[in-house]
Amino acid sequence: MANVPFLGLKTHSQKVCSLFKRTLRNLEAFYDRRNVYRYQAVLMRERFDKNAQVKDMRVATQLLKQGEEELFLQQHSIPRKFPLSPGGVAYERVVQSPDWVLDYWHPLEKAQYPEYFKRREERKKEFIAMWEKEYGKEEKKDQHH
Amino acid sequence: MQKFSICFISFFVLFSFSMINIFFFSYFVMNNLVYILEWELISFSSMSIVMSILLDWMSLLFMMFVSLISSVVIFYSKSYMSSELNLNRFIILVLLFVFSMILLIISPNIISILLGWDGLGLVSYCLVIYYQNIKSYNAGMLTALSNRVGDVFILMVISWMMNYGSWNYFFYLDFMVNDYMMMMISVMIIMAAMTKSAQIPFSSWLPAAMAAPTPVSALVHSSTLVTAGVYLLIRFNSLLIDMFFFKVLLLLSGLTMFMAGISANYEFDLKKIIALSTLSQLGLMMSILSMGFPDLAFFHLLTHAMFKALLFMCAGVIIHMMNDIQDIRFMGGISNFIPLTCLCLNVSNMALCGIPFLAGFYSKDLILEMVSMSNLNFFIFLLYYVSTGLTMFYSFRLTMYLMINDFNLLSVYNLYDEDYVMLKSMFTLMMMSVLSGSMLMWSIFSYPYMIYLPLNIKLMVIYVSILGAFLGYLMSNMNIYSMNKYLKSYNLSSFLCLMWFMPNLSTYGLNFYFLNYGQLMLKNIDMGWSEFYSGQGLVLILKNYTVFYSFFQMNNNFKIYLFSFVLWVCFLMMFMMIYLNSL
Amino acid sequence: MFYFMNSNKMFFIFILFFSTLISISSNSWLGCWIGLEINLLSFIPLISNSNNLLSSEASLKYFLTQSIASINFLFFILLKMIFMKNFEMNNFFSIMINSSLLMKMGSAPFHFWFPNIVEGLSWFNNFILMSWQKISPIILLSYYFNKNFLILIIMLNAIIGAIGGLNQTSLRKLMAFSSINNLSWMMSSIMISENLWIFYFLFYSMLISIMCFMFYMLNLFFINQLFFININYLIKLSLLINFLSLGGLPPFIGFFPKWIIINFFMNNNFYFITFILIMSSLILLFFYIRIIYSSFMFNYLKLKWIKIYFKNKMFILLNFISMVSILGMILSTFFFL
Repeated sequence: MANVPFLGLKTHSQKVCSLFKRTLRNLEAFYDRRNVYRYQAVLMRERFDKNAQVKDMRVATQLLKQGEEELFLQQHSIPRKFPLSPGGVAYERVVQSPDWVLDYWHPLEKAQYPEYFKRREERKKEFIAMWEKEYGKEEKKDQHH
Repeated sequence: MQKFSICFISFFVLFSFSMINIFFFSYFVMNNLVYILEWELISFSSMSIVMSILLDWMSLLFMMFVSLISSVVIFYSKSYMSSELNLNRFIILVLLFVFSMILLIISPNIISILLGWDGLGLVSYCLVIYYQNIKSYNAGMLTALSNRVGDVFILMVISWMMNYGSWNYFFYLDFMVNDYMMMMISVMIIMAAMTKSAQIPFSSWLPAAMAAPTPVSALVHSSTLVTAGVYLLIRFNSLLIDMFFFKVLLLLSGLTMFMAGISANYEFDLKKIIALSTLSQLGLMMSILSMGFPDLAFFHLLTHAMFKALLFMCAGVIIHMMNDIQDIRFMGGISNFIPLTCLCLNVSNMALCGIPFLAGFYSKDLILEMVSMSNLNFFIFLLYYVSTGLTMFYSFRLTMYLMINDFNLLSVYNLYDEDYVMLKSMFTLMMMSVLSGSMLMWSIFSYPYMIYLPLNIKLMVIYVSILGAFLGYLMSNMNIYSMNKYLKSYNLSSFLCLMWFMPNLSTYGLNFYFLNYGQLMLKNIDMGWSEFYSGQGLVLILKNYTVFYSFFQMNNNFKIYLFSFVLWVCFLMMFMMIYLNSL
Repeated sequence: MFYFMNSNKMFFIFILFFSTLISISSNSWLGCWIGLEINLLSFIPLISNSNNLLSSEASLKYFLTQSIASINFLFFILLKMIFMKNFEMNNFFSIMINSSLLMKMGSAPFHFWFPNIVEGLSWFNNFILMSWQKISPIILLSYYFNKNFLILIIMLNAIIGAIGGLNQTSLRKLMAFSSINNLSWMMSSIMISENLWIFYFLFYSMLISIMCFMFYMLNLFFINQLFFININYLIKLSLLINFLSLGGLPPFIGFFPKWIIINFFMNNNFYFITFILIMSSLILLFFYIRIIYSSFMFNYLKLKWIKIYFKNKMFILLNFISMVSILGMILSTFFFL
């Protein structure tokens, strides 16, 4: 995807939304009781809404920058993270190996689960058949190097 | 098959070992016996490397506690790690850990101590990185390298001990007290113990090590590994008393206690709070040790091992139940759902705070009274009592967060408290953390300590505890309006919250300039000047010379070769004629 | 190589050995000269082979150089006999006699014939040339030793042996330069004492015999043959380790005589020569390693149609010697602890 230049760029509204969400997460870290957090979140929403109608792009960019700065200065030292999200305690704790790893098992290892692998081979054939039905046969011209 | 799983077998073996130890402990303590077994491995230049085993009441009692806690923890991890694929590896690592701990406990010889000491470092590294994510990896590296500093100090002690011709430090404790070399050795031993017990410059690894599975934290990072340093200093104590560095240790450990107490109040990770409370208790042990009361330190070490392991196991149940969530901001009101676990949690918290007649009371109260009796300045006194208050403070805050408020995670939840494997193991330890204080008090002190204090000083512990509990209650409520307060003192809060920035200092702070400088050196010296002036430059010069030489060699003109010899001879002859004429 | 199959060659090799003994044990310079002449005349039939043009050329070249050296030697001893009393030392005469002997053994400033001739010789003759043929000139050198001159020669030998071998692709030339370098060690050892020289010489000829016989058996003459030769890996490994031993790397026995010589030099305050010798042997070690390293580490095409098998009784002896060379120093620590 490196040749698509505009994919990584965010629009202004996306940036504002991202800022709003991060601000809410930061508030969540500070106000751990739900009702208090809701109150603070509504206040924060009001601050954002106040500037929602700004049409001048220069002013809006400036406001966004100020908002980012304020958020940075108010970061909680120990942000509240969900355990499985990036930065959380259990992030990537359980490594789920991708499906193709099973194909690289040694035949002796495969032989320990005969039924599963038999069915797996069938499924693979079915999938290939389905694929070929959908998209046609693979061309054979790339056989030689 | 289910019954004879590796967990059950290990549990059974360790539990039996613990029972055997308690039997021998009673026998040894009654008859006041000490057994030393020595097995000579190698002898060279009049020094012999021996594997020694020291059995006295202290090592037997410690072994009993270690094996009891580890057996219970293994029993517990059968349920906690039930969905783990590599359970065998886990249990074997824990067993290896117990084995090296026992090696450390029973050896009066600095070389065999190193065996256990290094084993502890290695195995605890393997256990911290048991979950294979980046966080665990970083934590494990911090743990291993911090402990490695201590290993290096032990190695240096070994080389210094060679001056005495033997490594059985046990025999030199009383006779070499004022020796200069022994002083060097004891300073190094203190440094080693400070790394293992996470005292102040090295304390960042202990909260980081909480990346390990919770049973490991219960066994390794609360009750056994971190107490290895304390135990070593208890063994060396008669050597260390009246040393200047011991006063430094008193200050450092007092600060550790204080720092950990405050950081625990700012922390939100359940396991890290408990780890910081462990750190605080370690500071307490170290400081009482450095005041010259090794038996009190040992006493507190044992009781603390019991209730801290219990506390971690309760935390493990909560984490297990909450689907790996460790942040206490997600929790609340769980005493309605898991009353039995909360019972254990409260008992261990109370024991930690030193509520009368639980395990912690006997050791902690005695320690604080001895502190009040001793000849100390006001600063140290303040550190002790403020830290005691802080213990109450964070314990109450934790209790408030966990139990009082509403459940704070999701609107749909199903919390259960019916994992009897975990509950059984927790109740074993709960019994112990209720009973062990008085039990040990009666058995290990041959004569009681005499305490004679004014009433207010005696009640000081209770004052600070009540104050701390009240503050803890307020703090947990105060947090509701906290953002502005937090931001007002943002720098100070971050400073206290992040353990006085020690994790940063001991990772980036240590390696940043060195790595930077190393990169500079690599670029300019290794791959720059020294390459030109030694390796590549030499090859270049030699290549030029050899090409120049080949010019003579390769043209194969035999006539010229022979003629050059003749020319040389003529040259010599000419000189000789001049010489002969001059005769 | 197997001269015992050929009665003529056996005869000449016998004469070769005894002529050396004549030369080193005679008590007049003339006797020495006679020994050298017999030595020369018995070595030439060993070299020359009517089927091989190169070896005939080499024998001719050898004859020419040696005879010029002999003529000069004779001339100078006669001159010395005329001008000097019997045991008188003179700087010029000693330089003259020494330089003709240096020419005979192929030492540094007069060494140009040496790599040339070596190129035309079989490996066994090479071995003789590099080991046995050195004996009589060096011993004779020790009889009339100009120290200041020879110290210069030693340094020159060391440097030229190191630099000359650096870009050789022919193994025989390479061994020739290595022998020039080792000549500097030998001359410095004989500067200390004759026993030390014997010690060094024995070790050196043992190491060089391993190399020469190994190359003979594998029929190796150039470095690139080593790359695609199809032999057992272990033989390659033993070749490597013997090279390291020859270069004088510490755990192997090649280091031992060098060590002893360095020790004596330190005792006699010859620091500068020691420095030069050590540095030059470093370069020597470098090109030894370069030879064998590339044959070891890199993947080359291996020739399938040349498969070398050893069905040779000699190989057992060779194995034994190379075991001594590899493990000798390590094993000796067990005996003389």
